[in-house]
Amino acid sequence: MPEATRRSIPRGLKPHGLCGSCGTETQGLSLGLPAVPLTKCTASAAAFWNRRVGFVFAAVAILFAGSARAQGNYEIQVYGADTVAPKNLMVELHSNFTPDGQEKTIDGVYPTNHQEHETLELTEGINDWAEVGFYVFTSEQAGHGVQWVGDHIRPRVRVPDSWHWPVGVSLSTEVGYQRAVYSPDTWTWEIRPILDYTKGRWYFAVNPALERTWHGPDVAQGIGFSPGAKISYDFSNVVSAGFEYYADYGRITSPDTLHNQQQQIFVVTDLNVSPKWEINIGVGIGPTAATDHLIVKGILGRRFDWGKHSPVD
Amino acid sequence: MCLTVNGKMLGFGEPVKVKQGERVMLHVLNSSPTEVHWVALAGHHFQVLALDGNAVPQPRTVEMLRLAPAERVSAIVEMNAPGVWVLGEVRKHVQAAGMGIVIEYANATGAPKWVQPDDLVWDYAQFAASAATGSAEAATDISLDFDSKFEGHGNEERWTINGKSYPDVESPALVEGKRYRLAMKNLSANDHPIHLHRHTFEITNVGGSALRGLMKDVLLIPAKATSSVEFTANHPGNTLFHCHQQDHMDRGFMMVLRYA
Repeated sequence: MPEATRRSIPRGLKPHGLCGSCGTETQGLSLGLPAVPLTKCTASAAAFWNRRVGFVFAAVAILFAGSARAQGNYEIQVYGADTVAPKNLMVELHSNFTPDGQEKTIDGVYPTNHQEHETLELTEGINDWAEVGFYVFTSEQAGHGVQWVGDHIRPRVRVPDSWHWPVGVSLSTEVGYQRAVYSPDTWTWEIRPILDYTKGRWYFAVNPALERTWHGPDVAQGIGFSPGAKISYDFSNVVSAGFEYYADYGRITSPDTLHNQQQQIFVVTDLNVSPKWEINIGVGIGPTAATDHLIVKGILGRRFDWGKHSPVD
Repeated sequence: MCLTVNGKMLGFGEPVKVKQGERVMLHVLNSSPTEVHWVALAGHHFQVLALDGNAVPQPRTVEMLRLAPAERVSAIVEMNAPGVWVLGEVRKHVQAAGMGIVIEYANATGAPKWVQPDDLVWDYAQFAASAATGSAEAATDISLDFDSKFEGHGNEERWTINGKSYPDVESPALVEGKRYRLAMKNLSANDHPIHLHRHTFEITNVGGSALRGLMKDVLLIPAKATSSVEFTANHPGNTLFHCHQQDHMDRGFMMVLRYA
C-alpha cells in the first residue's frame, strides 16, 4: 500500500457521558468552560488534546454560540510507520461528521449531534527516516464563520528501511498550543510509538499513545493511555478495507471503567488511486456512554514533490 | 549493497593500465540479475561495434553505454586523453556503491578523475540500419502481452505472459525454418529485459518505430511500451523465453517455445 494511506493520526473524542476517571459529567468539561470544574475531574488533561479536534471545535462552539454547548468531532486516523519522503509535502484535510451524537445540551454545552469539523495537516519529509507535521485547527460554526483555535507540531522518526526490520517502527511526539479560551490546558504533549506490519493482503498497525498536560488544570493528572489500532485487507490494488479502533482508557495508572472509557470501532476503506493521493473514508460507532454513537470520517491527502530530480542522482 | 566491476569495488582493485594512442576493445557484460546500468569512461567515448555479440549495422560513438541484465556491449575506446580516469556507473549513488574501475595511462599519476554526465542516454535505434534497408521477410506473429497480477501490498506480484504465469503459460510450437515475430506489449509499470535462448533475433520495432538489421538476444522493453523482434526457427529444441530480471522470472515471467 502506498505510504500515504498508512500514515495517520489517531484521534478521538469523549464528547459526552462521564469523566473517564471520576465519573463527573464530562459534557464540555474538557472544553474549559468556566462553569465546569475541570480541575476536579481526574480525567487526563492531555487526553483532552488527544481529542483535540472535537474539543477545540466544541470550545469554539461554546465561545461563539454564546452559550455552553457540547460538540463531538474527530481527527481520526491510525498512524503507519512510514514517513513522508524528503522534499515532499503532504497536505491533508480531515473532515468528520457526527450523524448520531449527543442530542441534548448538558451543562450548557452544545450537543455533538450533526456537528462537522475540519482539520488541516501539513507534513514535510526531512530525510528518509524523519518528518515534521504541523496542524491548523479551525472551527466552522453556523453564525460564527471559521475560527483559528490552535496549532500543533509533530516531529516523527522511524527505523530506516536500510535496517531491514521485519516490522515498521516509528516514534511520534507532538506538542501543541491551544488558546486558553478554548481549553484551560494550553500546552499538551503526546508520545506515540507506532508499529505496523504487512503480510500479503493484510495490514496491521498499533499506536499505543501516551499523553500528558504541560500547562493547565490537568497538569497534575499524570499520563493517559489512548491506543489506536488498524487491520485492513487489500481487496485489489486500489481498494483496501478494514477496521480501525480508538480508545481512551484514562490514566495509565488508574484506568477508567469500561462504561466510562472511550471505545470506537470504524469500518474504513483506503483508496489507493495514486501514490500522490490519500483517501480514507470510514464510519464508526461508539458503544460506550462516553462515546458518540455514530461518526463519519473522511481524509483527503495530496502529496507534493518539490524536489529537483536528476536521472543521474 | 556493494557493486563491482570484475569482482572489485571502485578503489579496491588494480587499475586497468593503458597507453596513449592505444585502441582498446572493451567487452562489457551486465551480470546483475536485477539492475540496469549506465556506464561511462570519463574523458573518453565508446565506439559501439557489437551488441550481444552481434555486429551492429551502424557503429556509433556514444558517451555512455546502457546495459540491461544480461546485455553485452563490445566497444572500442581510443586512449587519447592521458591521465587517471574512472570507468563507472553514471548514476552517482550506484558508483558510490562501488561500481567502477580505474583506467590508468602509463606514467600517469594522481587521483582518478570522474566527469559527471547530466543525463542518461541510450537508443537502440542509432545502431540499426535504416528501416528502409532490405525487405522484411514474412513472419508468423506470436503476440505476447506482459503484465502483473496483484497479490497484496505485502506480497510481490505474479508476472504473466498472456495472462498466465510459468509453468501454466502457453508453449507455442515452432516449425523449423519458419520465421516468427514476437509482438510484445508491456502492459506493466516495470521495464523488462526479455531474453530468447538459443536464437538471435532481429529487432524490428521499438516503441512504434521500425528498425532493421539490429541483431540481439536481449531487449529491454520499457513500461507501457511495445516492441517486436523476429527470428528464424533454426535451432530445434525447447527454447526458453523469459524476462532477465531475476525477480520477475522467479515469479512467473517465463515460457518455453517448442519445436513441432
